Amino acid sequence: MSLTTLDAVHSTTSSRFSVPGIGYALREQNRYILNDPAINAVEITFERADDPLRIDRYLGEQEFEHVGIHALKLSVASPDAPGHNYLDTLLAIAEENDADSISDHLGFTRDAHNGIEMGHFAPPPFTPAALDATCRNIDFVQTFFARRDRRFYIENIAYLFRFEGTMTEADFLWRVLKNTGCGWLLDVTNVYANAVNFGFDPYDFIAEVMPAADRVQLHLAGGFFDKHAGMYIDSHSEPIPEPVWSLYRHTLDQGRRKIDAVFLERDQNYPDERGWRREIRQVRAIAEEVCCPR
Amino acid sequence: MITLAPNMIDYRDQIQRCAQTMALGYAEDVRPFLADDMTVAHVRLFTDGNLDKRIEKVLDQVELLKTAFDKLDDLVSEYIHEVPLAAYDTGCSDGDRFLCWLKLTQVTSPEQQDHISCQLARHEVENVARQNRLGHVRFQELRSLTARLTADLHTNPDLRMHLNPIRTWATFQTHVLLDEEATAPADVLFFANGQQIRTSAFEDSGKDFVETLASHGPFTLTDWKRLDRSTSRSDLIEFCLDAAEMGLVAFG
Ligand SMILES: [Fe+2]
Repeated sequence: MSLTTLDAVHSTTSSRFSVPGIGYALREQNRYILNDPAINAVEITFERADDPLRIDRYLGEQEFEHVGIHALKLSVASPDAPGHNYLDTLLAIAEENDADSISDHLGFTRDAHNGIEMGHFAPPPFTPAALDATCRNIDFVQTFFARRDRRFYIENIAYLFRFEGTMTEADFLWRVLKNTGCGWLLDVTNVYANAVNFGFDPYDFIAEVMPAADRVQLHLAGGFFDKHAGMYIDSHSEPIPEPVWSLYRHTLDQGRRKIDAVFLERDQNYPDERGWRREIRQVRAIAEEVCCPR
Repeated sequence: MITLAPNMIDYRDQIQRCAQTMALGYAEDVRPFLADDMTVAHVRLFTDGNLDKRIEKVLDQVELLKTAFDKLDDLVSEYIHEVPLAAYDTGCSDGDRFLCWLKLTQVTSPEQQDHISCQLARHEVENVARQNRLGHVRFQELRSLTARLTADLHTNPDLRMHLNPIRTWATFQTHVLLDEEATAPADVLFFANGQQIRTSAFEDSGKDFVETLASHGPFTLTDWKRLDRSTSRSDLIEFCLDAAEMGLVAFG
């Protein structure tokens, strides 16, 4: 075999490997298109899979290259670590569905371990105390999941208000990723929404934080601008808007070779079959174009 | 004992105050902690959205009550402003807490109480399955083989009867949710049937059968005849076949 051929093989292989897994956040409404050739990854929302009367594997028979479990109640910015029962059930669902990763949001949903739940995550105050609590909880969660070989990713959230703080969100997130070594579930639309609502440059945000992350997953979704509230609402109800497609390209470029998977989220106004397929194929086409240019 | 750093005590205090107040939809108390350019209206966008979703979920979880209570939406709305969501709320736990709140705070008719009992029992089946998921899956697997084994019941002395472990009893005081032929009050068994929940009203003999199998089972027909000398073997077989048909008993 000549040296040229070897190089060609090597370059094809590494290019192929640098294209992330692509897929949907699984909903009953898109289950039927998961065998689309553009899809080789899937994300399961833990609360949807956690049906005690279910007999079969939530994911069914199909196999994927990446399966992520997405949780809502780890509440890593709470003062207390999450409870063992919740972690055990999360891990059980991950094992049952051969998931390689588990993720949750950078925020708090709960006041304390035996306390109350708000129903959705609020952003932490960007302060050293919040950073300490968050890093300690992520360390705890990561250690728990690492015992069964599951990587943990933390997602940047879209928020509607901010607490008084001493650092920027980018600073805070950078430190969380650096201190804990956990993966970053970079929700591109959340960065865009916060940038619109709170006036910062989303491109700079991603460029600033990306070096702190070893491994990355992406979320893409579409929301709408609520004129009454004067804010972009991350409702997962619309097609991905043009500015998010551009930011996605920038993200793929910045995160070259560390992005494991891209998940597209849709929770309302579900598209028809063509719509489901068109959008995920566009996600793949852009990934292939940026990650392995011809 | 773990001693917390002073900044961690302040942090705990801040998160507790903010979470507790936002969980009930009272945004005002968050004001001292907000960034300079933020107003309470921003927080209200967050809390209103959360409470709307919570109302929707609770209404979904207590669907059976819709025909029994005129202003169910108002009652749920009152509840969520009084009782915050519990930590790690799973499955139907918020709906259950609403039903308990309803019993404590409202004057309800016997018919309405039956609707509440029915909804609570359905949730309880899910709770039992959550605590014994392996038992649920194993029984449903066994059940899938039962049709093939039914013919052997007369001839195979080693065939054992297994009771569905995912079950709970409720008592209905009135006729509102019962079939025409049943008499009130009636003991009703709720049990898992695959991914569904099935119900069946039992008379005393049927209830005894279920309770005997629950305390001594799984057992064979011969074991059972030893425990219950008064019932004929053919009656026992008939009962078993009926119970197997409805998914309450499996053979193995
Ligand atoms: Fe997301």
